Amino acid sequence: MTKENEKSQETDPKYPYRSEKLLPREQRVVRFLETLQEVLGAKIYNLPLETYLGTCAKCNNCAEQCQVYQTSRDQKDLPAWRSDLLRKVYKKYFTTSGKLFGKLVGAESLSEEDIDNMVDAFYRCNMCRRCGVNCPLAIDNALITRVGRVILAQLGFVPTNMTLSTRTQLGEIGNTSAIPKAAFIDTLDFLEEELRDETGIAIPIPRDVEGAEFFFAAPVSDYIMEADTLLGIAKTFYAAGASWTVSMENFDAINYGLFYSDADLEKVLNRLLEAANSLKCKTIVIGECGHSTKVALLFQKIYGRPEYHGMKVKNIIEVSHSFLKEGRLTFDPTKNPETVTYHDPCNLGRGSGLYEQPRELLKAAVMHFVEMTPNRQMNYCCGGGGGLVVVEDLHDWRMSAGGLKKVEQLRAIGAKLVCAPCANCKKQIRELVQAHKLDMEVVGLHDLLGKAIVLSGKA
Amino acid sequence: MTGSEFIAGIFPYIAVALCLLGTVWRFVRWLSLPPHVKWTLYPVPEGIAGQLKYMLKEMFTFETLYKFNRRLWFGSFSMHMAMAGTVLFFILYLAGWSTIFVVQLCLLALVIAAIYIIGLRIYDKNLRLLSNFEEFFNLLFVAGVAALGFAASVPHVSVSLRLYFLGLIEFHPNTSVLSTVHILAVFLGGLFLMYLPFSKMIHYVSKYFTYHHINWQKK
Repeated sequence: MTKENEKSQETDPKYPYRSEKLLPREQRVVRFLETLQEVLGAKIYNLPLETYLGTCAKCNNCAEQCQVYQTSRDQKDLPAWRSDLLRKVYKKYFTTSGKLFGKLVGAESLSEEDIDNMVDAFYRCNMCRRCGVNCPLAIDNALITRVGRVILAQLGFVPTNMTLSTRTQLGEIGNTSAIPKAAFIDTLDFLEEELRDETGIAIPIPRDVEGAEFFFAAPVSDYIMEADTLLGIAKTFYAAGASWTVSMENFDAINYGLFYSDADLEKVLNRLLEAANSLKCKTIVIGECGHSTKVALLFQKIYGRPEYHGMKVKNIIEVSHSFLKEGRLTFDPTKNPETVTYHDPCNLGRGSGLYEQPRELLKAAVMHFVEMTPNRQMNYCCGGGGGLVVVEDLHDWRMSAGGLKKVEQLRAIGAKLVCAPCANCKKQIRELVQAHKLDMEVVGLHDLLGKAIVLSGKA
Repeated sequence: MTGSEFIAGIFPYIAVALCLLGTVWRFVRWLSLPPHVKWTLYPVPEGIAGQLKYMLKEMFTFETLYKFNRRLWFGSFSMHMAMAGTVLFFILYLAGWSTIFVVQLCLLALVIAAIYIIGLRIYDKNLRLLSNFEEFFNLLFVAGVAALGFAASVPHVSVSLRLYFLGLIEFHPNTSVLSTVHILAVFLGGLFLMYLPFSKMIHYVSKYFTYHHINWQKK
């Protein structure tokens, strides 16, 4: 192999940010089928995959719910068509009818071109699961997309930003943004100073407190980008009189494994669980982040080591909401006079069932709350879901087909502030606001709670 | 035993047995698959009553399709209701509580609805892209069975279909009363029953699992 050929195996020029260390083209079909066989044998997938791949009625109801197809009107964005890319292969190689009757039953041999199509299609789906809400047969195309991505990753088709972040997180530094421990300590010190300056109270951000009730982990990007969210969370814990801690060893909740790899998901998840366990904390609280909440909630008992199964997993919204219900929080809504609307992050709403709790918190802490339409289970994704927000070559797509429905929603509501309690949603919506020149600001839920919270008589 | 006697006297039992066994096999297989990822899709209807209410509403209105795909809903809803109506009113007819005319109406509606969906799958570019031979074959199969059933139910020969089916239920069918069109209808109907649980039309079972075991799992 020439040097030029060797180089061409590193990335696919068509997908420079979605490929690394690619298998040679001629080996991809075999590896794909081997990996599909492994996935089908994995106990966590066999029931959903057998039913999803075997019984879709091709009614195309999913297309009318898919915000990407609604915008692009490109047949390649039909969720059922995308899922069919995998379904055809499954039928051909893993079902009796497919082996006997082939194309007559929609079964087709896998080709290298099919794999190319999948790289495109499975990364034009933001895995928002909106298409599953009104599927007559309750088929979830997002899970098929995920499985497709897991298989493609074995061939080398995987967003480099995700793998790079995960490698950094699993390495010595231990977090996706490569923040050294000393810098993290400085950041916490700085946040505590901010809290003191703003409130006149020494509100701590506790570190490595053994036996604390709540072990808190935020997406590490919040420590760089979302100081107001973290300040609000610290104030909330303080006001409620709760004992909590962050870990100095593992403070990053991000888990990109959800979007491309079960093996990486498992490693990252266990790092987090181990950190909580080592501090003898019984409840893990994930910060304002949709995907890492979902990973911890869904996979704790599947991929988490048995000794960690007893821990509770909650999102910070649930915790703050329970404080509110217990009467441990008081707000002065006049501190938030602007009109606020709420964006349901897909992984917190459809994925975790957190619909009413954030709304109740907002209504307590702001003067004017308005609902976008549609909302809750039919809310539009920000357009950067499924990890697409970190895929560089999809930026223009995210600003158009991916996120245009969200833009229309935001424009129609005309609120001054849009509250998006998820790091990925915040990033994507900020970019949408900028690209489409919307007159609004993106904030976290605890940014608003922090402004309105009454602390020892001081608001 | 002649071929006709076999089709009218033995084959229906084989077809019904295979349909039931196939359905039970699919149900038991899916039920036996190990616990899997809690891929819950929220909101989950509250309690058994809430889930039952959702499912019954969906079964009797096809609301999900109605909301997003009205053209297909018209055909699909009609087809499934006609199918259910055929079975229901045929049982009532055998019991002496309904006339064959109502069954004929259901069969006619079934033929029209299946042909309508075939037309829609050809006309609509997205449905055309998604449809393969299997979709058309299944719909043609449904239309064919219903059409033959309708033809067999028209009293052009002086036989009592009711007595034949009552005889089948009592395990001593009188096969001599049937004409060729009846034999063909019984044969095609039997083939359909045998095919049903092994085809993707098994969604009458899979829905239980995709809703109750996957979408509606609690934390």
